[in-house]
Amino acid sequence: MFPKTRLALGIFLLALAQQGSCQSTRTPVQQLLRDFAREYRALDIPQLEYDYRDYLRAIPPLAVLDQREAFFRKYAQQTAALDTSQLTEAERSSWKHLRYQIDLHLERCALEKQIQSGSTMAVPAEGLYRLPHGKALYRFYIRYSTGVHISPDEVYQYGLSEVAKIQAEIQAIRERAGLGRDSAAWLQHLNAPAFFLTERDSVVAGYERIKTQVLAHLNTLFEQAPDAVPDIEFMTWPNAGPYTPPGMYSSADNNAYGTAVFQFNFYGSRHNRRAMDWLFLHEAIPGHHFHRFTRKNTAADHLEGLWFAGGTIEGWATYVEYFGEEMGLYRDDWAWLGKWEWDLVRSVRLVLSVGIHDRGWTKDQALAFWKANIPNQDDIAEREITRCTNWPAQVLSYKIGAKKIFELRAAAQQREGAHFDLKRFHTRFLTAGNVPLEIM
Amino acid sequence: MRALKTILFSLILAGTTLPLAAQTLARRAFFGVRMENISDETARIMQLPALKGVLITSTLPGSSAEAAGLQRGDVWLSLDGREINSADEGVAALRSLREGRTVHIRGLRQGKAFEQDVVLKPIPTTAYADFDLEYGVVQSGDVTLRSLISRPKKAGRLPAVLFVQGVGCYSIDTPLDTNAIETQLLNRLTRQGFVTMRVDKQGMGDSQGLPCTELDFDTEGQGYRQALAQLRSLDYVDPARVFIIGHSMGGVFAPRLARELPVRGIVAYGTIGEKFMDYFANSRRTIGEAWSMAPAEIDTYVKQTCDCFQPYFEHGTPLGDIVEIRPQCRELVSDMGRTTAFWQQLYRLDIPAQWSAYTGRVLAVWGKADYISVRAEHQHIADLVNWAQPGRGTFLELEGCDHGMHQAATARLAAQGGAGDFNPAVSEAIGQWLKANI
Repeated sequence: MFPKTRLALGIFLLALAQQGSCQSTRTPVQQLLRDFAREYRALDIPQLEYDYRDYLRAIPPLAVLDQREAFFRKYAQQTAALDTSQLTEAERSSWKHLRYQIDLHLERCALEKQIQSGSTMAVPAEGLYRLPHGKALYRFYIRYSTGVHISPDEVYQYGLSEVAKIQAEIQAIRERAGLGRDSAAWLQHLNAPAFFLTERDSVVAGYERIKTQVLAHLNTLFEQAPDAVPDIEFMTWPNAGPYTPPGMYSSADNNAYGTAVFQFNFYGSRHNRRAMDWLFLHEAIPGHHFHRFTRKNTAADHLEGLWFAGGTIEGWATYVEYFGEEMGLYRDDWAWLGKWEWDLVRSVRLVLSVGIHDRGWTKDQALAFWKANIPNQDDIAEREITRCTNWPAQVLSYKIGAKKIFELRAAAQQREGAHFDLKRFHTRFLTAGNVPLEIM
Repeated sequence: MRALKTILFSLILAGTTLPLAAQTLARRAFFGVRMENISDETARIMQLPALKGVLITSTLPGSSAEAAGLQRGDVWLSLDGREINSADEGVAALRSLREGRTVHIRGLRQGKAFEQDVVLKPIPTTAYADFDLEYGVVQSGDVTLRSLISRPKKAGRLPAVLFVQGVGCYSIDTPLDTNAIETQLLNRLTRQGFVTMRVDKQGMGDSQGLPCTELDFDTEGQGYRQALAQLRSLDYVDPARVFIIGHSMGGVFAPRLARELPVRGIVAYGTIGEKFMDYFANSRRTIGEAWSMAPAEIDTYVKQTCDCFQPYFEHGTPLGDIVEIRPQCRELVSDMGRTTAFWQQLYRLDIPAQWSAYTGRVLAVWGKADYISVRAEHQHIADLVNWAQPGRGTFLELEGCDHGMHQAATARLAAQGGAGDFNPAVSEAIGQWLKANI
């Protein structure tokens, strides 16, 4: 009786399974991705948001970490066991992405278990350096924020070299303006009324002109037709203050206006002309707005929306800032200067971040480095140092992301030689989706 | 058998009276929308026919608005026939509404008019795994106020804290914002073993009574007095180990309350230590410095502002009259958010004398990034207490904290919107002092 029942049950289950497979055209990898995404969502693992102190205080007990680790190990085995010989290009990309995320999460689990097992100590406010596992945690933060395998020392050296390069660019502009030696006159010149738009409608009209210009030149670097790019509107950033960033993009899916919007900082009724070209490239086209549009036209996999690939998103927007001339912008030194001025801030942040979290810099050391390298911007130094301290490695996503995209491009160029097509490279990047740069 | 019946009856009574009392105060409505004012730019982008209504930027999960199908991008035009033309007007229209009612709203969705009924759900309550949070009531005259009492899961009579909030018309019952500083501070103190109590002002949260903006200083104080009396009488509170934490204006109420109902100690954070007019001048200086005004400019600003406001505080001269007589005051005076009577009662208080008369222990805390209150006045409070009762007053300066107990590197940064979340250094310092003075 018993064996017969078991047999019958076995046949019944087999029938169910066959029925399931007849109805579905889902491949094993798609099934794996779907299961993973469903179970991952149920685990409700928080993203590493602002302020590492909150993150550290919220690390769950060891039993929960064990449960998470077991989940990732299970999927590590399943992804390793999967036959990848028949995967489509899109499936292979999703599979690689999943492997990457499992690896990253296992690294996080191991760190959190070490932290949780260690002695309880007050979380220091000065950064990760003084924590028992601070250096390893900072390396994890770098990988998490940028999607790139890069050591703190490499970030530091790159930051220093970028600072020197940008300072040389700025110096060259100063010399062409005849103000190479006279720093006081230079600073006075930068604050000249001619550099600031004080009528809101003039700013909007300015951005409209820039948009027309960029769309007219879009074909120089991109395959996408200009008239396919959805419209973007310009408006002031509501309730902007002196510390509000210069601009922000929000897509039609993420705002209440029903259309994509680029908001610019008009605090004190003025907007810096020098920043308009690079800011448009970064926030709008071919930056965030363009990236969003191309991604929307690409089929999403089951992993879409689980993580934010900061280095990919911000790296792209920073990468395209270099192509102002190709896009019909950067017509004079002043537009270039605007780009370099903000690039200098971003590059100094690289050094500060590593200094604070990996080398134990005090706030005074950080402030001294800022002042030695960025003249006339002491007012935002406090804010920047606080940001670099509280939100480890997030500031790296822009520059390290862009650096990696240039490296990917160089590698493709070398690989493909005479067949390399920059427009095609851009399309491949843009349609790869919200995945970390390391697996592009 | 009879004894058993009595016990049973008492249990039933005990089991029913508290919820009944809580039930007498309906929960405020959870409409649940985030709003943005409609500017000419919004109207242009959205192609709106007129600059009317307010834009709904999101609906909150579980809210009445979500259940009614309101959507991001809707323009909300009116509630029960009352026009809504800004986020402030929306908040004001919703403030007095209670759970269970049905309201009628009109709006625009993708350019088309719509109208519909919305059944109002109650705003959620909060619960924690590691301590109890009770939603109670405090009776102040014929007005019922909402109280929140947090209670560690510990037996015996525990030390307790009454929290008295600042001058603004805001609620201390914010289940949708667990980052609110009152919640952060009091939860952390509860986890350190203290019962804590806070009470909403009249017209705020679930509390009944006048709109908060029409409430005077003495009447507001009555609510805190009743709350303190109730806290002292709770069977799980040790009445000999009750403290008051006064935040900002709450620090002015604290020694007054302690005169009527003895407490073991007071913590005053970012408060007033001089007579109000002296504080007003001192704090204008702090504000001027936080906004990077030049020293000479600050002197002028302090003098002119005080001159302009003096008749208002002293005699209740309407601000409009002051501006008419002295046009130079136009840029300097503005509505102070509370009634003239509130400010006049405060003006007449001898705040230093209150501190001198207090015989318990005092911790006066000032955050180094406080861009409103004044360091010297906190030192002064400690000095006044120590002069009468040596060793009982302590002044504490906290690095990286602003007036609202948030993290901020400098007063300048905090004043210009650069402050972060609640700074745990505040609860750590206060908790330490409370434990040392239990």
